[in-house]
Amino acid sequence: MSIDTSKTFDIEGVRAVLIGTDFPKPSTEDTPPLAYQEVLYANQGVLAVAAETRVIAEIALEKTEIRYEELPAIFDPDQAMRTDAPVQISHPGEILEAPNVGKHVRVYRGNVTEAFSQADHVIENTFRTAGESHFQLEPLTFLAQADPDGGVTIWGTSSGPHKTQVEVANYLKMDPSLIRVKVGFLGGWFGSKEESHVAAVCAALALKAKRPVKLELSREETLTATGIRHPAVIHIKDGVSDKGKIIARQIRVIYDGGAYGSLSNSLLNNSVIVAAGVYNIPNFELNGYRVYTNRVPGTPKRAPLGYQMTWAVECQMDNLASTLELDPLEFRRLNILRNDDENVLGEIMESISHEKALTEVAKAIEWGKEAEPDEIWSTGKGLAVGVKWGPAGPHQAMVKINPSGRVEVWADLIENGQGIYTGVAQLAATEFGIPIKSVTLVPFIRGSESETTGLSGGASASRQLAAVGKAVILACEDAKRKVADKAAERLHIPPSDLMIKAGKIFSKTSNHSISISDLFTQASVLPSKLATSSFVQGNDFVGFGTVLYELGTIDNATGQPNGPLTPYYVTVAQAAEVAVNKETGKIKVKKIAAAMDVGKAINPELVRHQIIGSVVMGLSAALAEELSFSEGRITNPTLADYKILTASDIPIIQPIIIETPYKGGPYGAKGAGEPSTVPTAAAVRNAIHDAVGVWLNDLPITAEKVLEEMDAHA
Amino acid sequence: MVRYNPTVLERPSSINEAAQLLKKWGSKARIVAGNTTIYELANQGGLDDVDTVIDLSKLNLNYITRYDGSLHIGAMTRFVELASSNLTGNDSYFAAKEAAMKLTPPQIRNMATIGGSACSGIPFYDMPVTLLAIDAEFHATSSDEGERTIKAEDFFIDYFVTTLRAEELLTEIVCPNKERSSSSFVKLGRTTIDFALVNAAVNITLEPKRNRMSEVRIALGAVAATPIRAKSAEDFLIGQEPSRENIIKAASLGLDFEPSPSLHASSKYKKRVIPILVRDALFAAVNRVLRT
Repeated sequence: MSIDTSKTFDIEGVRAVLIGTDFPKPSTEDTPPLAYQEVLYANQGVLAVAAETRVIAEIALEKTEIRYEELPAIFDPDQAMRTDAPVQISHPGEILEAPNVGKHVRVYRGNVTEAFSQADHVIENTFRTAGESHFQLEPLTFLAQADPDGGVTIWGTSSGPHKTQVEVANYLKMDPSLIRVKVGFLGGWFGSKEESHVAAVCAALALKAKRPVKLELSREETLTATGIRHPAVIHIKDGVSDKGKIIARQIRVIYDGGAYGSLSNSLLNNSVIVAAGVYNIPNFELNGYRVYTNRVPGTPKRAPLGYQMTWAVECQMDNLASTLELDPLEFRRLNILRNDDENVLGEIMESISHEKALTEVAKAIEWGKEAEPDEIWSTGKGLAVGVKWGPAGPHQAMVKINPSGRVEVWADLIENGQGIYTGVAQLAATEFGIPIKSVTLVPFIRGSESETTGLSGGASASRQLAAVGKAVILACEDAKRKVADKAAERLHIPPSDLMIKAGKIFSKTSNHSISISDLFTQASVLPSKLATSSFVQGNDFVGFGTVLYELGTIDNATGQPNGPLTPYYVTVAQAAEVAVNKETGKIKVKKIAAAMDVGKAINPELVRHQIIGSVVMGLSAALAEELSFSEGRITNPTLADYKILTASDIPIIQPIIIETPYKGGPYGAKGAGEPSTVPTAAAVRNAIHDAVGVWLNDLPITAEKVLEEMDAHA
Repeated sequence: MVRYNPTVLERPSSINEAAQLLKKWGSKARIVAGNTTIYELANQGGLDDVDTVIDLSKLNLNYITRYDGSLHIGAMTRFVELASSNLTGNDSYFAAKEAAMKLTPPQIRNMATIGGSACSGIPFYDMPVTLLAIDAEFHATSSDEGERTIKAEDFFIDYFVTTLRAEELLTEIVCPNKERSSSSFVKLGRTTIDFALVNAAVNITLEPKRNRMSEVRIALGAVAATPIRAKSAEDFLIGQEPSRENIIKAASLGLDFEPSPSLHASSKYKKRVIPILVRDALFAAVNRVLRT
């Protein structure tokens, strides 16, 4: 590719122009801000222009001459993995074990080959998931301004300011402390705002133009150029005994991750966690591949890479039950992991409730009760169970107590509609025994800021309540300790005898007390009574809390990890009741019962809404969403052609909260944002089989596919 | 990138003025009615040559009236008005009301007009197929040739093309009232808010004194470049009693051609479900006419 920008400045009002080679040479497999010398996927950004108006910028783009030399491309992951693949994609710093394999993970336990030879039945199937958009309401948008010290401030749609800070710093080869990122309320994200190449373009334009620059992607650009849910092909081979015990399972999964590594490589373990965390299987092998192709990069979407695995495993479970002529619920019970069981990763399971969740949802849809027969609409019921993992990395929080007793929480908290501000304010209010209105969440007022809040991975991995919330509780405890120390001096009572509630410090054993405000010294900053302020002599009443999850990695040679891959497992189970039109194949989902074990529901109403929202997204993926490709190009980048379910398509959803406390979480809580989207599609698919006797193995399930299968089996 | 960037907005206050403006601007101008289809066309790059927009909202073409039994619908009448009008309940053209009621989402139903829907020439829209089935007439006017009336049969020519010339303006759609006649509209979409994968509208008329069908019109949408009639099924039913058996037989006769595939439905699937849509539409129409 060659770009001639000599005419780009011909029109007045152009302030900055950037091409890929204006950025430092890429040093990782991540999507670069703009294509670096070669374009690896359709709609990849190649040129950025900042101008006084949008129209001027568009004219400048048209005046720029871009010449492409067409090179061979590869769009099929199977072909890409062959040793003779015509295109081999690799990125700086990568040594690939096979062509276009960005990452391979292998898990091994027991002896799969021997177990297959002993099995009464060996059953194998292949399942597929589609490329999907996140379809969050708000497209990607950034505003950047150069700062006087050579740095840059970025406001925008990021899932976490610290993540954007370090990623942009890496793209621009700048000191991270010169990159300031502020994130306000997000209009939904679901993973779509996880990466920072677009933010880097905006920041670089602002630095070059020395003017504030706004970069707003259209819906179509957001959809075609910034990342999709990874399409996957999952092959499962199982050996089962006549009595219904799975004695061996072998999984081969291939994720099409598109042209760049982005977050795909590091997230491959998610599929392992999901495959390992549900069933008790003595002999197990999993080979997971994340493959490069010349398509738009895969990027996380709600329970990334685990969603795809659950689809395949839970479909396979019903196929096995059907072969063995066992009830799908009973068959799952025979193989389910329970607390204190060891899974195939050598982890001892705790705070899970797979069996209970399955039982609850089965009860909710009257499992086993047959529907009235109908000439046209055939009714069926289906189940699925799954798990979701927790976050990794550091999470910090700071809590400050004010003279009035009001508590400030300084933490990286991104509100994207889930209610995290409410949940975390509840935690701080509980810790101090004050009403929720006496808690100021600083990110609520100022946005989440890289320079004022503690480190966190932002909103990803459903981490905010579980991990940042835990750090907030630790910070509250630290601040309370400092208050108690000060009060102990004043009351001449040991700090261990003191407790804090509703702005006062009480002795646990006597009737002595002192209010927090009395621990502050009053003084005027100016000789005026109006200017009297309060301050603490010596130690401020500021507390800090840090939670660090250091997780293991898998050694492909041994097939085992060197530590836990997740701090906890979240159990989810769902049951679906569907009706299928025998003439048109059309599917009406009548009801979904959805159970999730959140450890502890800090705010049950918000948890129920996370369940409902997740199920809606899962249903839409099950029945409608699919990006169509032609030669690597997305051919349906508008709502006219990319189908999503809307309110009128949504059935009754019955959320069921289960609480098995997780000892590392705030009051036992785990992350609740993503898990419930994992089992929906498989539950619906299994219900369709119950209704009309056909197996659908590829997502999304359309009326046409159902009818075609029914015709084939008629 | 959207290149649709018109620089002139005309808002004529009479049909004459509108016709003269159309003559003046020719193919450089586009009429806007409900502003729904034009938005998508612009997005797709289909209006790059348009520099003038003619807005008809001041022409008072927003009305539904009935005389001599026929229903007269102004071209600027919105779907929501058609859906809620108590004048559209007559069985002979009830399908138009049904199509209007089934148009989703409500935001589009509130904006889109019957004239715009017809003039867009989009074969999977719900109103064109319905107007063909209920034997509607289209009233058009131009400054050179004055008014003319076009039968639904002759109105739709190709994808995005109708018989209207660039300088011609659709003013009114007339739905005839036939004695002992009834109509119905049905649609199959992937989701509730969706264009039709296939849609069908029918109109049947019984003989004055006995329950035999004297006229049958069956129209299908989303199967070809225009809405199209299922002639074999119609011919089979004429002179027959509207019995369950006859309807099922007629519906199974289907089409004499391969329906065009779309992103969301193959030709094979369309062929498979067309008989079901036709059957259901005929059942509904027959039930309605026999009930009265």
